Amino acid sequence: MSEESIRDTLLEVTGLGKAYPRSSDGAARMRAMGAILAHRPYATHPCIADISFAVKRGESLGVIGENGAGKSTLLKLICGVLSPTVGRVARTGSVGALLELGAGFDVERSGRDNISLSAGLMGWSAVQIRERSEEIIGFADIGRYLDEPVKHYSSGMVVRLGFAVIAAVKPDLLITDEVLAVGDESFQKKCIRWIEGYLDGGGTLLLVSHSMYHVQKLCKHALWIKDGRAQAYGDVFDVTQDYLAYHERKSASQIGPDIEPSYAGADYRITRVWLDDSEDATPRVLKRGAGLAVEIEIYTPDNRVPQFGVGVLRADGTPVYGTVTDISGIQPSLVEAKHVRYRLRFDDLPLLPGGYVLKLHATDPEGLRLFDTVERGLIVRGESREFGLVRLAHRWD
Amino acid sequence: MIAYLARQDLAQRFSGNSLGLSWALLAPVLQLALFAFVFGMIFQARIPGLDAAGYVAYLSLGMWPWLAFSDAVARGSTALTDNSGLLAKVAIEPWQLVAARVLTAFMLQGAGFVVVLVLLWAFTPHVEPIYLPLTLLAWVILAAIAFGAAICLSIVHVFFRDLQQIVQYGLTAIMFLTPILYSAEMGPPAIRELQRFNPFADLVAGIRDPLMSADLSHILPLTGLAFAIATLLLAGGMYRRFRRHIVDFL
Repeated sequence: MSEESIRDTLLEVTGLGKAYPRSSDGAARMRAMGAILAHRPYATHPCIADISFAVKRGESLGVIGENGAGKSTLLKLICGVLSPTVGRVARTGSVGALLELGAGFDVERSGRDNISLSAGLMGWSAVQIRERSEEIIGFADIGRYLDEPVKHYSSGMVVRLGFAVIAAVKPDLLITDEVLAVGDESFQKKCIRWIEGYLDGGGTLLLVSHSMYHVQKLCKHALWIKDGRAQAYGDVFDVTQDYLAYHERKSASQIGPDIEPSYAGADYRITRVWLDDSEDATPRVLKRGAGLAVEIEIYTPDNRVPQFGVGVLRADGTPVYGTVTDISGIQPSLVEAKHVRYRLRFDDLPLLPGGYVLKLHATDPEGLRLFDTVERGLIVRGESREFGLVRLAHRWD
Repeated sequence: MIAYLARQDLAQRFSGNSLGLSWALLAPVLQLALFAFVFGMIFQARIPGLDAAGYVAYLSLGMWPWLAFSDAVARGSTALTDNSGLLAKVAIEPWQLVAARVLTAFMLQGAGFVVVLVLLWAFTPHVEPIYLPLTLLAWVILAAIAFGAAICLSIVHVFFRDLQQIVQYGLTAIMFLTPILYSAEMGPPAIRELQRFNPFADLVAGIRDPLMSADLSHILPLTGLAFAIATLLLAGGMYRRFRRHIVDFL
């Protein structure tokens, strides 16, 4: 790394891990205190482990993952609320964090008081707070509730107030944990507009969100945390697509496999599969709009010619397209003793980026009974904010 | 940041009170009147060589520094547990929360002390406010001990929640063992000897005696100073050891 880029790294996380105390009853606390005094370890359970990444000034990183994956712990470590068990967090510049609802708010006091309270915690002087409070009140736009205690607020209003303070403080690094989800549509738009302006002005964002739309819209890179570890880290579209594909597979596996057990040990069996001339069974990564060649070898015990069916499904099992050789009246490309081969080519697959499954079926010569199914994963890479499964050809008039 | 936290602490202490901060001045007046009535008229408590008003002056000038110390330690020792929500969400150094509470206790009771001093000066012939600046060192040392003790206790309180009861008892015990309600000369000689090692006797005398009797023998409270240094060293060591574990256990 050049000196320039080192200086421009706003946040660097190296081998970060955090373990929480296992139990919090009285006796366990006392034992833990003794252990800390004696420099011995106490009983903990790990929350996150071995996470490393760097964020440069002006970059934006989305942190995604399931509930309980350790995202919030990671953010708390980054903004210094928690201390790491192992590893290091190096930060330069000011940090503003919106962790959970109303961090640092005193719910007994009015919204107006809480503006001073949380701006004060971010290091503002009383004079600065007075000068800027009109601007904050304007952004929050919560009307008459401003002088009511925060405990009477809806969660959306709490977020409005918190975000308004952050927007005025304009930290070098902005950390937000699932705040956009709480506000209403118009406030979300306001926040997103503000964040876009902030990023254009050289601001740096760390966004935790379950909305892949927001992550893709606001972040260049993404980090997927799974079970406390970094599952994927890189370009936002790649990571979010893998993440969504994972979820689709997960919900599909909960529905269960759709092959009847009676097909097991079938007579007509798929023996070999090539995708683009490779027998690699791991998911095949395609660029958006790329073609795909599929070749299949089917074992036929009675030397009759079995039919071949092919289907493309989204990773959650939603069918996209399917066809069978007998629809098209196709004959195998190669026939030898007890084996036939079919070859099929998709030109310019119109699949939108995401995770898909290619299902290959062998049926009897009549095309009536399904004998064997082989699945291959397909991952389509690319940047797109279009919706759905396939791109429908269109033009704007 | 400490000043900011102290302001918030004050606001919190008096929030919802219609008289607000005026209580800081009103409470000492009421308390002093109570002392005068109970000790001066009911108990007829006396210190050798002083009349009833003299005893009330003696008691009050020792009591308010003690109230400051006791309030600072009692509230400081729960500063971390009371602010667990804040510590779990906002990155602040935990010691600053303790410092803010010690500061507010000394500010409030210090203001009370000044009110009491003015009243005693106006209504009794027993005090010499001119010596007030000479008591400053004793005040600072007393606050330093309070801060060090509050740091240690607040950390232990995170792990051991029963501590609160023990702290209350301990503070009461120290108050009675220190010549505040009585004078050291009133006890047996052996106890009088032992009081030389009581840092609080040293510090209370360092504040009370110059104002009471122009007795300057304690204005350099070395016992108190030594105890303060020891307390602060212990607090520093404990804080360094426990700093990164505190939030995990809140």
